[in-house]
Amino acid sequence: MTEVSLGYVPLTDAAPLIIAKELGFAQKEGISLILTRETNWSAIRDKLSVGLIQGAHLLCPMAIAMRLGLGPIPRSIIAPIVLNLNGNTFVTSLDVARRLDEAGIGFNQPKPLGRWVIQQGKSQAFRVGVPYPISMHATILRYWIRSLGVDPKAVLDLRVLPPSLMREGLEAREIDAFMVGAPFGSEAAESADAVVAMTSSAIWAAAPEKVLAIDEEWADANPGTGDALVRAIYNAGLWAGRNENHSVLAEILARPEYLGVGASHIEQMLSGHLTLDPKGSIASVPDAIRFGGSNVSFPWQSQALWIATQEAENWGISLGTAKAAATETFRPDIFRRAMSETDAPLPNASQKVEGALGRKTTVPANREMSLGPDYFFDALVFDPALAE
Amino acid sequence: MHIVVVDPDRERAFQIVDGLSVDSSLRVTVLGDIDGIARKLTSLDPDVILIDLADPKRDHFEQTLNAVGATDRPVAMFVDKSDIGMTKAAIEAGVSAYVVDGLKKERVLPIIEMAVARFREFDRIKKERDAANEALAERKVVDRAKGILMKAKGLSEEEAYSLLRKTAMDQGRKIGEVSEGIVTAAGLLS
Repeated sequence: MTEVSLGYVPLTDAAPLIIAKELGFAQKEGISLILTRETNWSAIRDKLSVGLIQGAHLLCPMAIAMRLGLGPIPRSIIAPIVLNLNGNTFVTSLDVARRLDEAGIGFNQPKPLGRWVIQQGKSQAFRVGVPYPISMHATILRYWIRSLGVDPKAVLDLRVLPPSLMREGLEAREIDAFMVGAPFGSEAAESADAVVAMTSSAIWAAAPEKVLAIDEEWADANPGTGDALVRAIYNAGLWAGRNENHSVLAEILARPEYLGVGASHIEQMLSGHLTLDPKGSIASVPDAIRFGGSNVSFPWQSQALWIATQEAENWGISLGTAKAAATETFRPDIFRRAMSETDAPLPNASQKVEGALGRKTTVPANREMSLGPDYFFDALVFDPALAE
Repeated sequence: MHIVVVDPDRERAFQIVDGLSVDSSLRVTVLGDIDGIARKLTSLDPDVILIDLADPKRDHFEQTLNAVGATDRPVAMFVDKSDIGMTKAAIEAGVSAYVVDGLKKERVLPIIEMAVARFREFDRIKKERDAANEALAERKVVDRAKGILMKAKGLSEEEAYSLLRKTAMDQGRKIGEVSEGIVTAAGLLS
């Protein structure tokens, strides 16, 4: 058994790490997983930076940003596997919800909701809580507003708050809304003082959310262990993606040593049946959060390039530098190497056009493989070859 | 030099203050919470900020620091980016230190070293205390289980204890676990 230490933040999408340990997928690959629960993303970043942990459950854009040296201690991190797609929800205060209701804006209507937010933000910046400044939460929010023709800086004020304190922030009127990872969206909606207005999947139907981040230096020195780790996480993600496993998955994640929240909150997002408000309105969003095999976890370089294209200016670096870091971080070559002897489908390409699939579609691969839907709310088609 | 210690744990904060008070050229301020630090930052004008690595509000705190943004605010974390050993020791001990960029290394290093030592010491004492509390709780439950066995089976204290110990050994469990089972069962049956 080789010991590997991984950090995680207690969120539903840490599932592949937790399941790899709990259900023996890691052990089967000869790995003894040591999971350390962290209370903030900075702590994960710092521990990765000095090599105290070999890998972590990490926000996609953070992996790219670390390579770019945007944090206090630069460290080259790679992302050989994506943990999940989607999972975030946009939750508003009751006051905002009432005004949205008056304006006739219902659940998951990103265009009218975005225009409404812009209108509000023109007089006073609309304050949205996000868990970390460099996150898909922030990237997606900015993309949403920018796509509606407005500079997000002019109307949005993104405030960093830990997920567990977002609701307090609403109550204290420090923020008007927040974008938060599962299960905190469902938890908030059942708390009687918040309303789910939108899932992040309404903006981009197949947004990569968290990756397994691995220290590049360690991965280069231990390719065998790194590949075994990818396989363990892959198999755990495949297990977590099956509908019949969702109740057990929710029970395991709910334990006090992992997320320590009610299993029902976790299961809501997994099943796609979301409670939206204190009245108990329910909506069905099948792709609210997705785990799975290659259709979810293949680290498409085009996903990383989309993030780089969105964030280069905001991060204060040239697009070329951001794109180079993106393709050095997302590593389909390692995914392929690790999964080559298994029955995991491997696509022929490493980049794809993002946002082109309106529905589930078969793609060229060595085995049956389908992707999608992956559309953007504004019908953007992102071709990485043309990205400027 | 002005050091700001942010720590909701009063006991640990005071230990750090104690450690810093050896150097009379240091001014130390303790804040119990990160809230409102943005407003206080200008008036506090700290050279070094020490904060628990695991504070849930640390991401929020970093955003606040970056937003203030002036060059004379502590933004660079840790003493020296080339000195990874010290940084690693600090992160391992659970201290995050924000230092004004350009501050002399020989001035800052002893402060960080002291904070690391105090964090470690605090952690050690806490672990010892937790272990002692656990041992005490176990002794209490074993005593109660002994009492239950003595009454139910008419055993002497010594016989009751040997029965507990034998059962624990046979089942490969801790004596405390076996005792807990007896106490729980007795509670249900009474």
